[in-house]
Formats: sequence, structure tokens, C-alpha cells
Amino acid sequence: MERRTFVKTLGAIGLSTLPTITKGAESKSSPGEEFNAILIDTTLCTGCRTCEEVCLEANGMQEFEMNDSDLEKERDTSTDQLTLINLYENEENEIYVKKQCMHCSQPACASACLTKAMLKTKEGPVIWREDKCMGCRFCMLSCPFDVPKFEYHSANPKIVKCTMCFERQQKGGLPACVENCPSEAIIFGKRTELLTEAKRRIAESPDDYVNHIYGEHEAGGTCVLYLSSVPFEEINFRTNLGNDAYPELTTGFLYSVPLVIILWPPFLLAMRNAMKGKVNNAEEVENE
Amino acid sequence: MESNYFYDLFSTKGIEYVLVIMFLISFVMFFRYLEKPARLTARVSIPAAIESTLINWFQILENYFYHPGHCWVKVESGNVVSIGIDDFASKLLGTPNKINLPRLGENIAQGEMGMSMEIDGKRIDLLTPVNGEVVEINQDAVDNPDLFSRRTDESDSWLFKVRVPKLKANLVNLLSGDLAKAWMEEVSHKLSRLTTGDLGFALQDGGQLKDGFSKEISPENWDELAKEFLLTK
Amino acid sequence: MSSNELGINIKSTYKFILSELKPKSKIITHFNVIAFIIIAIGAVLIVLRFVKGLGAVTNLSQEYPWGIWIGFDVITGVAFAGGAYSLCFIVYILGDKKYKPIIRVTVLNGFLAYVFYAGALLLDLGKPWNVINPIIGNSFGVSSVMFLVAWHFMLYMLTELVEISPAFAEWLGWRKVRKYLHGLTLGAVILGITLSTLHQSGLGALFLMAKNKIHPLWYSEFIPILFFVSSIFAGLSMVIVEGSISHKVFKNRMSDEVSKSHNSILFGLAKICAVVLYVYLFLKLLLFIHGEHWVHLNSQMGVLWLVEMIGFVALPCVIFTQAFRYRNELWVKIGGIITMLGIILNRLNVSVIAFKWYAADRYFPSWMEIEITLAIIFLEILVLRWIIHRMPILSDSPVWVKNEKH
Repeated sequence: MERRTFVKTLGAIGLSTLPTITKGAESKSSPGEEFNAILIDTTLCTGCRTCEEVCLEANGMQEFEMNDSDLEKERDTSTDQLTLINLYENEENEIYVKKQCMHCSQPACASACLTKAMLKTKEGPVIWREDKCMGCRFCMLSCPFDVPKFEYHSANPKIVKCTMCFERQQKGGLPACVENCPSEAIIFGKRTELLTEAKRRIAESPDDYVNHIYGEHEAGGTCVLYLSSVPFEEINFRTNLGNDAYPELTTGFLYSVPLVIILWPPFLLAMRNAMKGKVNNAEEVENE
Repeated sequence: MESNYFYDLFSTKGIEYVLVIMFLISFVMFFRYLEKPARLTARVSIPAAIESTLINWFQILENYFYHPGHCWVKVESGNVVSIGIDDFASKLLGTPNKINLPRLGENIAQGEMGMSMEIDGKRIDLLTPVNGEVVEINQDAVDNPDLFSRRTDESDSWLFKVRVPKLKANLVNLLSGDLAKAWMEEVSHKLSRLTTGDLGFALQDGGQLKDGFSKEISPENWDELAKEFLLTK
Repeated sequence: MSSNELGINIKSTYKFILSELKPKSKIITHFNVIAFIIIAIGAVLIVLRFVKGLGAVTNLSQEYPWGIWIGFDVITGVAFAGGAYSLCFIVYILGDKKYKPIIRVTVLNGFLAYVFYAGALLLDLGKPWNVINPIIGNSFGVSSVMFLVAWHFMLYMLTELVEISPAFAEWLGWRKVRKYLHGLTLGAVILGITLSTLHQSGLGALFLMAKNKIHPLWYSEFIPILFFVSSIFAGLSMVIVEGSISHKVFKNRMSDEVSKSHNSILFGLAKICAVVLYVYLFLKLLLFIHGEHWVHLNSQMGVLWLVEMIGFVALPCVIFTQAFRYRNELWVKIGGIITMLGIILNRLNVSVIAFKWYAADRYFPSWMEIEITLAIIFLEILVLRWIIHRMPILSDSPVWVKNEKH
């Protein structure tokens, strides 16, 4: 009687791991469409902050007054603001940097999300789906860029971050910030095309750019790419993230789970039967 | 980027292997230390132990004081004590061909080799449990060692008597009551570990151990085994 | 008075349960009053949390998404519940009868711990009503470690329920049911140990992606293994401490067998803890060398790490070793307490203290977070006490159980 239940439960667990295995096989054989991406050229950004305004408007969020004093200290995105401009000054120049979700190719947040509320779309943007989210904030813990923000003061809290205007893209449009940037510092396109363009710019004006495209390899590659005239550490980019996709940090553990489920029960059973022979302990214990 | 510069992926592997070897050695030492019975100044309370099968192999008597070398001491009167070998040692060694006791009037020292037995041509020493002067010897035991070892009553199993001037100080170094039971439990554990289950045969046999079981366990080196337990190695 | 096929007489069972609901001891005691106050305040705060959001009650922030409700209630609590699977392994797999008298109370504690800490988890969730999403499967986030942990929690609670259910059946007098449940024990134990291995290590795996946010002295790819190994002595230390308290508090409910075996069990557990602590120390040392972490020692975090390693791992190892060798119960209990404090320190370090140690504003729990945590703990104790006073957990099984055996 107990063996049957035992085997049944094992089977159920085993089956539930199948999606992981088959899904992996699927994506390895057919790559599908390339990701859409954004290239931000900080040498072209004038700090007009139009992107901040139109982003709020496009997302139906409360617009607020913008003062120059905002740029005096470094800001972070929040539940009220999905993107913003930070100003970094050195002896030579002022550098304006647009900050928002990096839309990683292999996002930590999406792999962390146990309900698939955080989802990496095939098209490229990483989106959040309200109906699925339980508010566990595991995405926040996992994101190497600390991007997702949580509405702590709401009874029905949301996770808030830039969505690369996914809905606009679905209708054939462009992200609001891209569409409205007066200096075309932000451009939109397929990821490989943007990388080609970025490399072209670096090759043509090597004195204007540092020879590095941030986001090409960081954290396994992101769909938001940056060009800069100064080393990225100087404009407070996280340069210690490594080139491996963050979900790969968990694969070692996750891959061993089915192994443990298969190996432990027979091993334990064998041990028990071996000990039973020794002294009559195990059998007596079982019969008690 | 890493491929442009020298970077040793395994820089710490050497030390790690050393650490792991140190762990293996130190773990054995640690475990042995853990299982070694401690000195006797501690309080102990052992209830009617669930693991009574082990303790019940070997008798520990009330009011007897035990030395780790498996001799017991019983206070007769004043500062005269009688000395014998305990149940464990007796069963361990089996029937002796000859028993050698210290001479009358001889001064013996606690923890030194005091008496010995000859079994199957090999001589096994035993440690003396007290300091003092030998005042009486059990001549019966010396004359008839085989009869002596088959006795069933512990009370006339004394081998020799000693006058111990500093009786109290001597007794402090010996085990009795619960402490003695704990010690015997440890000894039994050690025994069952050494034999890795060989003694199973003895247990099934009505729970009686054969006399001289050291020879059953290790026919070639039973004397080494015996010395291990009697602390006379 | 008809019984159905299962030997359950609904009517008499119902009457029996009603009668059991009456209090078995004085209602107004110091403990009860304190417990009541704490739980009442906790209830009010919980309502506040749901009406005004997490921010109204906790000090969580965008920098610190997880606080003590996860770090302490869930993660530390589950580590302490590790006594259940460890002891089940020793008793049912290795067949060591010595610990049989306390297996029921340990499994019961484990079961209640998981139930209550799952409850604490629900409080921490922003939208707890959506917790059914990963359960009923409208979207399984199988890539997520948390998905795994959540499922294992649920399955493990079920297996522990199966393991402890014979005691419930004995209380209700349901003989056939009891016999059936008893037959499931071995399967439940094996499943339980497998699940525990995975979710104890899984709780550690939750932090794997927070690579640059946890101080290198605590972060490594082997966090899951460290969590699993430490859950063994965490659980057994909890058994030691809780067992010692139960020994005094529930004296009148204890069978002779449980009572008399107390000391020998205590010493056995001390020995196991000493060995596992020793092993854990070396594992930590290995990782320390592997990561070349000596550079970090000269800092606040470095000092904290040394305190954790020396004061709360090495020291209890020594204490347990000597307490076992000298058969000293008092020092075994002291060792147990220090080990438990060490586990709390370690889990809090990983989740909250060494987490974003570089941040300007560090997290510290609000009094409300602490209060609710205490309320949950007190509630759990009350439930435990209710069960122990009525069911054969510490006391002997009813006579008819022995007659069932052949």
C-alpha cells in the first residue's frame, strides 16, 4: 500500500520536472526572432529629460515638476518613475546617463519568478504581469541591477519597472523615450544591428568613445546597450557583474534536484534494509 | 577579457587538498577523542538505559570501585581493601593457566603493572588499582587458577588484599556507580566497534559471551587486543 | 451506534472532539496572559498590514526586499525544523531505537513549524491571494528556485502530516485508520528526507543570484550545501533545547519511556551535533581558502564572520564534545542554546546583515515586524501545548495500539 503511494508521488514530482527538460530542448533547436533592443549613446544625451516626461505620460503615471536641482544628486528609479537621467561631472565634461531596466537577455528576475509574472518576451522586453504576481519580491532580490521597485504602501502592490513600452511595440510602435528623444541619443532596433552600429561609431570616432559597449556581455548580455566617452566605472555603472547570465548561477542547484529525487529514495531504502539485518532494531521500530 | 591576461583558475587547489587531508586525519583524531571516556570528576546520571543489551553483558557491582585497567577494589574494613579482576577482563581473557600475584608485604603503586596471568603461553599483565602494601593473598586462586576462573560468586573472587594508607585519595581516582556504568558502556561500544559485528554470534547465543572471547575475535593477536583494553600495551 | 467501514463513528468522534476542546489546565497563568497580549497585538498589526500595505508595518525598502519575516521566520525557522528529518533518518533508516521516544514530538514540532512559517510567509507576500498561482499551475515558473522551495514545503507538510497522523488517529480512537496510516510511515519518511535535503539546501539556493549583494565571506555557490549541513545540527539543537523545556513543562504528560530516556538521548544528540559542527567548520574553512577570503578579515564584516565561526560554530563543537565525554547535561543544553543562536546569526547574516553590507541605510526590523514574529511563535506554542495535552505525543499510545501488533 505504502509503496504505491510512494511511487505515485515520485512519479508526480518527476513529471513536473519534465517541462524544464523539454523546454530547454525546444529553445536550443529553434532560435526564433532576434531581440529588439535599445542603444543609448551618452555622448549625444543633452540632459533635456524629455524621456522622463513622455515615459510618465505613456504609462499613465503622475507627472511632476522637473527642476534642475533634481540632477544635483544621483537618483534611482522608483514606483513613481520608470526612467530618469542622472548627471555625472568630471573636470572635462558633464555626462548625462539615462537609467532604467536593462532588459537582460537572460534575466535574473524572470528566472526567479515562480509564477512567471516577470516574463522575458520573445521580442526582447522584460514585462511584469499583475494577475500572476504574488508580491514575493524575489525578483528584486535577484536583479543584479536592483531595478524592480515595489509598492510597499499599497494594499494591492505592484512591481514597477520600465517595460520598453512592450504594448506599443506590439502595435508596431516605438518606445516612448526613443520616439521623443530630440537628439536621437536613444535608438531602437534589432540587437545585432545596434551592436554593429555601436561598433561603427567607436571605430569612426575612437577619441569620442571608450572602446566598450556596456550590455554587450555584462550579465550574459542585455537588450539595453550603452556607449560612453569615459570608463563606465566613472559614471557609476556596475562593472563587476561578470559576463555570465545570472540564472546560470542557479542551474547547478536546479539540475541536481531531479538527481536527488531519483537517488535518495533507493539509497535510503537500501540503507534501511542493510541496517535491518544488523540488529533487530529497524524491524522492531517499524512494528511499534 | 580574461583570455588576455594570465589567470590561474586553480590557484588555491593545492592548499585545498592539504586542508582536506588535514581534515581526514584530524577527524579521525577528533572522533576518537570524542569516544574516549573522560576523567572521573564529572557528574553522571544514566537512567535504566534503553541500550541495556550492551551494559548487561558485563557486570558492574554496587559498592565496588573500578580501575580503567579492569581491576576492582572493595573496601573490607578500615583501610584494607580486596582486589579482583572485573567481569569484563575475566570474560575477555578466559581461563588462565597461571595467576601471578604480588608477594606479601610488597609495596604496589596505582597504575603500575601489579599482577599477571598466563594464558595459552602468553603473559598478560594487569594494572594495580591502589597504592599500598599487600597484606593477604588468595592462595586458592594461585593454586587452582582454572577453578578460580569458573566461580560464579563475585564475592569470593578476590585475588589479594592491600592496606591503603591514603584510601580516600586512591578511591577518588576510581570509578563507581553511575560513572562505572558509563565507562563499561563505552568499553562495550569500543568492543563492538572493534569486532564489527563478529560478536553477533555471541549475542544470539542466549546473550552469553564465551569466556576468553578475545581469542574468538582475534586468534592471532588476542593478547594485543587484551592489552588494548587492559591498558597495558 | 453504527461505525462505517473505516471504523469511524462520526457521532461519537464529534462528541469526543467537543469534550476535548475544554481547557486542560488553568486558563489564567503568566504565560497565557503574556501570550494572549502578544497575539492580540499581533492580530491588530496583521490587519493593519493588509489594509495599508507592507510599508505600514515593516522597515522593508527597495534596497532590502526581504527582512526578518523571511530571514528569521521562514529561513531560520525551517532550519530549526530540520530535527524532524534528521531524527527520522536516525530512527527509521538507521534503526537506532534510542531516539524513538522523542520522534513523535519532534515530527509534530516540525510539522507545526512548517505550517506556521508558511503562514508567516503568506503575511510577507505582497499579494498572498495569488499564492495559488504557482500551485494550481496556470503558470509554473519552473526555472525558479523559489518554485521548488514552495512545492517542497507543501509536499513536506503533507508527508509530516502523514507521519504524525497515527497519533491523531490514536487520539480519536480510529483504529483502522491508524493502522493504514502507520503502514505509510516508511514511505513518508523516505520522501520526507529527500524533500528536506532539497528544500533545506533550496533555501540557501534562493540567494545564489544575489551574487554581488551578499558579502563574499557568506556568498558562495555552495550556500545550498552549507544550509543543508547546518540544518542538521540546527534541528538537533532545537530538539535538545525544546526537549529540555518540554521535560519540565510537560512532566505530567510524559510516559516513563520518554522521561527516563531523556538523558541518554541528550548525550547521543550532543555527540552527533559535535561531529556535524566539526564537519561544517571544515567546509567553511575550505570555502574560505578557495575564495582567498583572508583579505576580507580586516573589516567589520570580517570580524562578524570570525565571531560566527569561532563563537558559534567552533565553541559549541568543543562544548558538545566535552559535555558528551563528561556526560554533563547542563553543558549539553548550553551547547544547544549557543548553536541555535549561531544558526540565527548565520541565517540573518546571509539574508539581512551581510546582504548589501555596503548600503548607506541598513535594514533593521521595526518593532511591529518583531511583534508579529513573536505572535506567530506564541501561537505555535499554544497549539503545540493543546496537542500535547490531549494526544499521545509524549505520553504512551492507547492500549489497543499494542494489541494491534503481531
